[in-house]
Amino acid sequence: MKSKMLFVLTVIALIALVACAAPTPTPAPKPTDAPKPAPTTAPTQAAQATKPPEATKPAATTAATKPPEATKPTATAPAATKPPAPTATLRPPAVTAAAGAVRINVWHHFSAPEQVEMMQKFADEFNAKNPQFYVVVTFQGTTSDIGRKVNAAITANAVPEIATGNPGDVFDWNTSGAVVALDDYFKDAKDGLSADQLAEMQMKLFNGQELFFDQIGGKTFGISPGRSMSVMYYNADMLKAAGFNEPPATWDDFDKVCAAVTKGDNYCLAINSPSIETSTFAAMVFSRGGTYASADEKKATFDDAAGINTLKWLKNLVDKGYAKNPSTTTRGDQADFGNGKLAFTYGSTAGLPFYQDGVNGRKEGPFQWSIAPYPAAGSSKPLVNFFGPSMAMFKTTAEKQRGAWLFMKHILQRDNVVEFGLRLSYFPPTKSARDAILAMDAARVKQTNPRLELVLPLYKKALGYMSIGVREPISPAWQGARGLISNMLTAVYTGKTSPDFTATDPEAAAKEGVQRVNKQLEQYGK
Amino acid sequence: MNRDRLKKELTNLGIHFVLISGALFMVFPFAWMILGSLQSYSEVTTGVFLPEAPLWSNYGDVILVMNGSKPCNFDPLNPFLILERERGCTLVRYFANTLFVGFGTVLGVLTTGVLAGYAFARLQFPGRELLFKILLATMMIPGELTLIPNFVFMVWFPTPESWFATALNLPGAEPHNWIDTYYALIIPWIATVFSIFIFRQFFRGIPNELFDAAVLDGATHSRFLVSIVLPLSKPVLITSALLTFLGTWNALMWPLLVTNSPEMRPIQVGLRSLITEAGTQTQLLLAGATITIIPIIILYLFLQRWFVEGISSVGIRG
Repeated sequence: MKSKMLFVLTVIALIALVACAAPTPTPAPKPTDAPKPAPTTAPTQAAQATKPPEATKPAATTAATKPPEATKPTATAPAATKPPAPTATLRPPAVTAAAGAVRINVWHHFSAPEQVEMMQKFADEFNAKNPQFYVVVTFQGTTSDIGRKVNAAITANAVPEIATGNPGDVFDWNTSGAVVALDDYFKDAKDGLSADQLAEMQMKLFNGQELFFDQIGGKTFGISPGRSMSVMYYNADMLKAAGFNEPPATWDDFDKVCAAVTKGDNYCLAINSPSIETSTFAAMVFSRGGTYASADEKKATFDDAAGINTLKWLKNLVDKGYAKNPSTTTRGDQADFGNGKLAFTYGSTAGLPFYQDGVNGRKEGPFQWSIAPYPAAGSSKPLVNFFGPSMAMFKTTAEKQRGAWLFMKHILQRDNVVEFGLRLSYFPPTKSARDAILAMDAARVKQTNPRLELVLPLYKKALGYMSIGVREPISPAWQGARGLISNMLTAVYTGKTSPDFTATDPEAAAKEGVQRVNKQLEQYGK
Repeated sequence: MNRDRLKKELTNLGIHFVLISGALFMVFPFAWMILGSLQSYSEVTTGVFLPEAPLWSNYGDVILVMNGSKPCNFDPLNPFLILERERGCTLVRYFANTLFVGFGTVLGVLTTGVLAGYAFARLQFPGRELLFKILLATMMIPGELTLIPNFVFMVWFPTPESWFATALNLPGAEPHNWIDTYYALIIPWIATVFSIFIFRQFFRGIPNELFDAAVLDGATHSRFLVSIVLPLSKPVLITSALLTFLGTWNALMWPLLVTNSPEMRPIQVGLRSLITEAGTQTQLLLAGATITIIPIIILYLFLQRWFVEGISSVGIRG
């Protein structure tokens, strides 16, 4: 028995050694080196990012009018199958807390090591400049995990000073009375945003919503350091082989392309989430000229012609075999797209590197692919749908709230939102930051995010869509309605009723969907 | 070959066919995980079973990613410093935390389970059956429902050392709650109804004659428990320990809820860093998952005899 235990211990020790195997063993900085703050020795990319945008550089809208070519296939060498490894480090804070510093806890959901590193860097820079505060940033799981954790923390009166979350979560926390309205901080004479920055960040969408501020009743409860957008991914080679040189700009054209590309294993549209789900349905209704919801977001309106036509279109594609569930489960659309079997899928631009990985790893060799806005119908124009996290500040003490606001403001500085955008493939909230990214070349982008380098033309192309974006209703009542809309979509494309949804005919389904959603909206808060 | 023998052979063949099929069915997810961990992103996302060329580098990559994409700074002369954050050996720290929390929880569960199980099995006291039924009924409450109340307790309770320091008015003393401490990771799980149940079932099977004989020799309940019952209970002790350890090893939501810093987090939370909202590098996730189950498999290989015996003796079926 002793020898067996010895064997177990040896194996565990070996695992430990393997776990810390160092490809190029370099000594870590001594703890005594750590307190040296980073800001003054900012990496070269930061210096480059601070360059003012050249006057002659095209603005984001210009980029939209001249989209870059579809992503060209790269070599089929085995190396191409391996995505670049993240380059960041999980490390201890570079700045230690000064005596008496007020601790500011920041909970975030940015999981990849290079994203964790980014948040730590922001904290280090802030702590070095503001010794009266000490920001501690910690990864707390997905946005759902943070949602649960914050709810528990609200109950226990142990909230952090800042948490990231989806706008719906932020409003939910606000319903509990835990979130601070940020408007007074924006306008604060000493610590507020400059008029220029505030003006730059205010971007109203066509339905009156602010893109980067989460507002209810004229008050702002969440602010976003960057949004991503849902766009249409397409296999340019597959379209070309079927006789289409451009992606469809109208839904009628989309149907024609579908009829032409669906052959053998190849199919037109993936209907798994996130390709077809509540948010993409909303964008498809908007793109057909529908309103989706009343202006005050208190009523659903997708039982209009646009909503019904969207459901009819979806059912038609499924019935004809043009649209189907991908061959694998989660993210199956990325897999089928990468393998050249799928012509179209809808998804977040944050997934650009993952699509690239799939395409580059294809056994038969990569192909040309690209992104485009959602097609339109009638007099509507093609559009994209915005997503992305927000930051919320919680009610604590006046001093902690001030520290939390100053940290938010720090993140919203141009260089930082540029970095945030590059690390997450998100889009910065200010035009000057977007212009800075447009002016960057691949080598510069590689310094911050190697995985974005290969898809930089597409990322820049998407930046050009900033002016054609929509956002579905974000009020908290609508969060509960998402599941109902999802049930409606499933009932329509599967043709199967369930206790959750009874209508399968598109018109009846739209009506039932609206009824159920409206009931939910009415009951919210009662 | 006579007819009886042929019949016996065919029956054996049938039984083996069913058993082997069952075994293959059970092994398949593990085989898929290991083979998937050796594939490229493209292969693993298309459901290919065998990798064209095994990518062993996935293991190096996942270790690197979980360590924060930085080589771990291991000093053979000071091996225990590997647990310091500055060393950048986050994966080792995750493993160490998981092992510590796992063994701590097992110790607690065995202690409470044995004592409570013995009381329910062999002691006579008013309301014994009712109390046991109430305990069993709590197994019907979904764990998710108790997350928030448990979290609230973790915030309310001061750690013993901070409580004493505050009570004694020591300089700089201030109450510190259980959040981000091993207390929160271990204490709430050191008493489980399931363990009490299996200990009770096992202890009830021990013949009364043994107890009577021990009493004649002057043994008390505690002496009988320690000297006679526990040595007979090796299978159920190991079963309970293994199941508890497995539960701790796989725990995700609770550790995520009650910890804030990477130094306190277990391995499953570490695996979370391989999943991003935009996509997952599935091959790395599978490599990470494979690494995390190695200790469990080793543990099981050494303890399987008692585990099987324990499972069969208390009537649990998987």
